[in-house]
This record gives sequence, C-alpha cells and structure tokens, in this order.
Amino acid sequence: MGLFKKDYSKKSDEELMSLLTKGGQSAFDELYKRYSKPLLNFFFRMLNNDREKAEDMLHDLFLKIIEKPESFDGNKKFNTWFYTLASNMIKNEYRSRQIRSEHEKQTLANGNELFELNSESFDRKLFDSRLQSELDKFDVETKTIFNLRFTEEMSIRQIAEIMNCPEGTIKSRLFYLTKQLSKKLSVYKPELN
Amino acid sequence: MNMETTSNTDLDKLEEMLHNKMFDELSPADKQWVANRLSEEEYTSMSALYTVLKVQKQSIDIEPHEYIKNKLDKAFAAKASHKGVFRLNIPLYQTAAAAIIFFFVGSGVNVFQPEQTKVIHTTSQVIKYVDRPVKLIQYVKIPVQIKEKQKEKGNKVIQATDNIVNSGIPEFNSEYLRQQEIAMTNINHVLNEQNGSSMGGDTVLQKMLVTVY
Repeated sequence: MGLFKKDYSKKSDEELMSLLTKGGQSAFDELYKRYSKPLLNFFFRMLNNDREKAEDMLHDLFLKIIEKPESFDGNKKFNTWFYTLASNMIKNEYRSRQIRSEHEKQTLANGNELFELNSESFDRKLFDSRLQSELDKFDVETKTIFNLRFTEEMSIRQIAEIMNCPEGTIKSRLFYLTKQLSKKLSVYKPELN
Repeated sequence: MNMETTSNTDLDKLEEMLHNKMFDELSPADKQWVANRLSEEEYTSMSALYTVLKVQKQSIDIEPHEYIKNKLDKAFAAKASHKGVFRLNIPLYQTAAAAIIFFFVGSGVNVFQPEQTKVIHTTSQVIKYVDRPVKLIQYVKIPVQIKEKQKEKGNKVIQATDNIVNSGIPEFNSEYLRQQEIAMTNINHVLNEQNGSSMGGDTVLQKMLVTVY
C-alpha cells in the first residue's frame, strides 16, 4: 500500500490547496504541518504573547480553509494569501478589543528601572517585553509589517501583497519603525551607550 | 540624513549592511553612503537591533497543542460527511436527459387528459320566478378549446356573458314544480277577488310570500 501513497511533502502549497478543495484530508494535514507553527508564533507575537488567544486564532484560520477552500484564488501564492487572512484576523481582533493589558503598561512604565537592574547581562525576556511595549505604540499595520519582516522573514514584495500597499510604503515604514525602535531599545545593549 | 525622504528603495542595501557589518567595518564608500542617510550612532543602534531581533526570533518558538489539530480533523470529517450526503455521482448529461424525458412525459399526460370545466362559484344561485319556470344558474369557466368545439358542433355558446351558462332545473324536481303551482293558484285567487282586502288581512298574499320565500 505504501507504494501507492502520495508524497504530499513534495507538493506545492497551491497543489495541496487544489487537493484540499476536492476533500483531501492528507493535503490538509500537510498544509497544517507546514504552517501551523509559524502562524501560531505570528499570532503569539501579534497578540502580546497571549498563547491561548493565538491558538484560538490558529484554529479559526485553518477552519476557514476547511469550510471554504474554494475561496483561495489559485493565481496567488498560498503563503501570501494565508498570511493576508491571518493579518485581517489580527486587525479585527485589535478593533474588537483593547489589547494592551495593565501588566504591559506597567512594564512599559518601569522599563528603564528594570533594565538598570539587569543591564550587565542581556535579559532576553525583558527585551522582548520592552519590544512588545514599544511595538504597541504603533498601529496594527506597522506591527504586522514588523513581524512579517523580522519573525516570518518575508520579502518586501510579499509583505506589500499581504498589506495591499506599494513596496515603497513598506520599506519606508520599516525604516522609520526600526529607527525608532533602535533609539528606544538601545538601552538594552550596553555597548551601544 | 533622512532616509524617508532621500530614498526608501535602498532599504535592501542598508539591511544587508546592518545585518553583516559594524559601522567601523564599512568601506569608505559605504560609510559615505550611510552617512547620507543615517548618523553613525543611528547606524550602530539599528545594527544592534537587527542582531538582537535575529536572536530573539530563535528564542521564541512555540508549538501548537495537539488538541487544535484534533478539533480541526473533526471539523474536516464533519464537512466531508456533509458533502457526501448531497454529492450524487450522476453525470450532467444523464441529469439533462432525465429532465427532458420528464418534461415530455409530463406534457403527454396533459395532452391525453380531457380539459375539464372549472366551476368559478361553488354556490349556485336559484332564481325563482312566480310566473316562469325555476332556473338554476351555475357560473362555469369554459376553456377556449371546448368553446370552439361546441361552436363546431353547432351548439350555442354565450359570448356576451362570457363563461356563464344558464341551465334549467329538470322537470322531475317536483318540489319546485309544486311551489310554482301553489304560487300560481294564489295569484289567480287574488286576481279573482271581488272586494279586495288589506295587506295585513290578505292571508292569500301572505301565504304566497311565505311559499315563495
């Protein structure tokens, strides 16, 4: 039987989506294997490390392709289309609730003081918390661009497609964002001072 | 000094430098290129940020729980079973052929069935005249085909009162005939009265009215 089993790992995302439209469970399994982890981490970062919410959104995202696989436009890259769905879900989530928690505001307020206590050794956790707080000062689009670029390592072109805006705009926003962040976060790298 | 206004298309080149070289490691030409966009301090800060972000990406890496996949598998199975109920593997041409056959068979049934007259009013109206035979008027709708056939046979079809046919009550309806006779007798009796009588005392007229109504 193994001889006749299809090797889905060699198929492209787009081919898998085509098979999924015809009801292929194995195609779905392969897509889940490829995208569940990166997308969970994307949601996790975008939702201020709220794992429970990130997992809910991951579930809802994959449910969309189970229920309406035909909504995928075969002329587009699956990767771009899927991240566009994820970004839209994030936007809706931001609209529906104020995502900043009191805890994070507290961290932001006490950031410099905390850093001074740990300045001699780089505290990864603290840096992440501070980074999140700084990112929260930007709008959801800018934050999405940042995560797509630095955590998903997407090209400018892909990000432009996902965000539905020109590449120049993405570059401009990324440049401005990294410049601002580097100013704010330089305190975490003692050798920068 | 401001990259947003000078050029945003050079980000790729700048990012490559930020990822790979400290400011001191840049060539004089690259230093000049950077200096047109950023200060040395800004370059150093951004370079550090890029390095930290790279490390940070690797440090945060969570795996999805198994239950998410299980829930999705159940949803997938439910969708598949739902689709299975409604999905019939009948080719389109067979469906079309069946529809055509059904259409002709249906039409054939109508052709061989005689057209029936449709009674518009279910309530018949009985008009009783004291001096004429009692008639039963029934309103019926006569289809055009039947109307034409009737004409061909020489039968009279009333056009002016379209769709209305008057038909007399059969003579063997003894009750109506008896009432008619009583009425006529009463009328003759009144006509033959010599002295006349008041309406209140006119028992004959009263009887007649009772009989008629």
